[in-house]
Amino acid sequence: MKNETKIVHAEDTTQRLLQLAGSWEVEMPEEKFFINLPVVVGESLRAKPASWWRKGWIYWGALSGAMAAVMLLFAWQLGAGIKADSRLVKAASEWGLDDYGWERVDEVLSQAGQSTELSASLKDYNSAILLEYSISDQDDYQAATQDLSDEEWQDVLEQISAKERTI
Amino acid sequence: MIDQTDKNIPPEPQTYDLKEVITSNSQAIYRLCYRLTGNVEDAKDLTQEVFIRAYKGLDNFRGQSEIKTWLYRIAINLGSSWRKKEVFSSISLDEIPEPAAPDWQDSDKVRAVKKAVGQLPYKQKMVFVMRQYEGFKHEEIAKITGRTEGSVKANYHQAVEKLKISLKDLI
Repeated sequence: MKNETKIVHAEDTTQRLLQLAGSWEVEMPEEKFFINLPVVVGESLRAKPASWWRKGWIYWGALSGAMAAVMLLFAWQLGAGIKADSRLVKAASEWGLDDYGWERVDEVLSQAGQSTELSASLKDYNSAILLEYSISDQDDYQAATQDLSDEEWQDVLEQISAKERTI
Repeated sequence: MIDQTDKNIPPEPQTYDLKEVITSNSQAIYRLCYRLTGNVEDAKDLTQEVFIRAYKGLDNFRGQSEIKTWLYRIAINLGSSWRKKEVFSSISLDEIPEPAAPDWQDSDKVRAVKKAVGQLPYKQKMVFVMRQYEGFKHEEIAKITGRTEGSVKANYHQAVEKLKISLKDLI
């Protein structure tokens, strides 16, 4: 009886929460944003200006550059003996620099952390991911790496090698 | 009777008109981006970037899913990068940017909801937004995000529980 009351109370609270959440309406931009969007996108594609993502790098380029360097250091620390894991960490550093998205970087680094000895810095980084992003469903990041074709891996590794030569 | 051989036939390559793709999907993508970022300016930038990425990848889109599903996937991935940018820019997560337009006044309740949703870990926020505001089922979210239905359900449950705590004074 007590349990039933508890369940009913929890359901009521959920309903009230969802009702409250529903009060948040989308603030739409001015209509011309949608009208002009095809033109703006077309112009962006032709002119290839810095995207918001790349603009972001200008502001926190120093930090991200340092992160990339740290990640490359991880790769070095892991050593050539652990080829697969080294490859993962290297790929992650590239993903952070390119268009793959930070979530994938987290995913790959977390996966690398499960199978090999990591530096203290990477352990800290992974702990932060776990705390903040609650990566508990491991199938996600395993799937992320499985999705990459051999050609993509090759491409990533070639780009990293080119970057390493310039550092 | 299902013709098994159909499963092995690759989908016909389709051609897409960028303008048509944008016109048909821009408002839905904007809505998702707004919920993920919590402010108009970032949502506009993100929406624009979604279509730029989509155009660049259009040749690789094999038509195995609806184009809208694919656009949602791009938006979700970009939203994750946006979140990272926010974190690395050292912007306090307590400070969800206020709308730029002065004529838009959120009530205290709405501000609290925005703040609470904005503070959710990205995966939980994304799942909650897609389920609560975009009306997707768990199964559909799993398909869009390439994850298992179980992990989507878990994230949704975690999001709801966290929001109950954050908004306990209002519910």
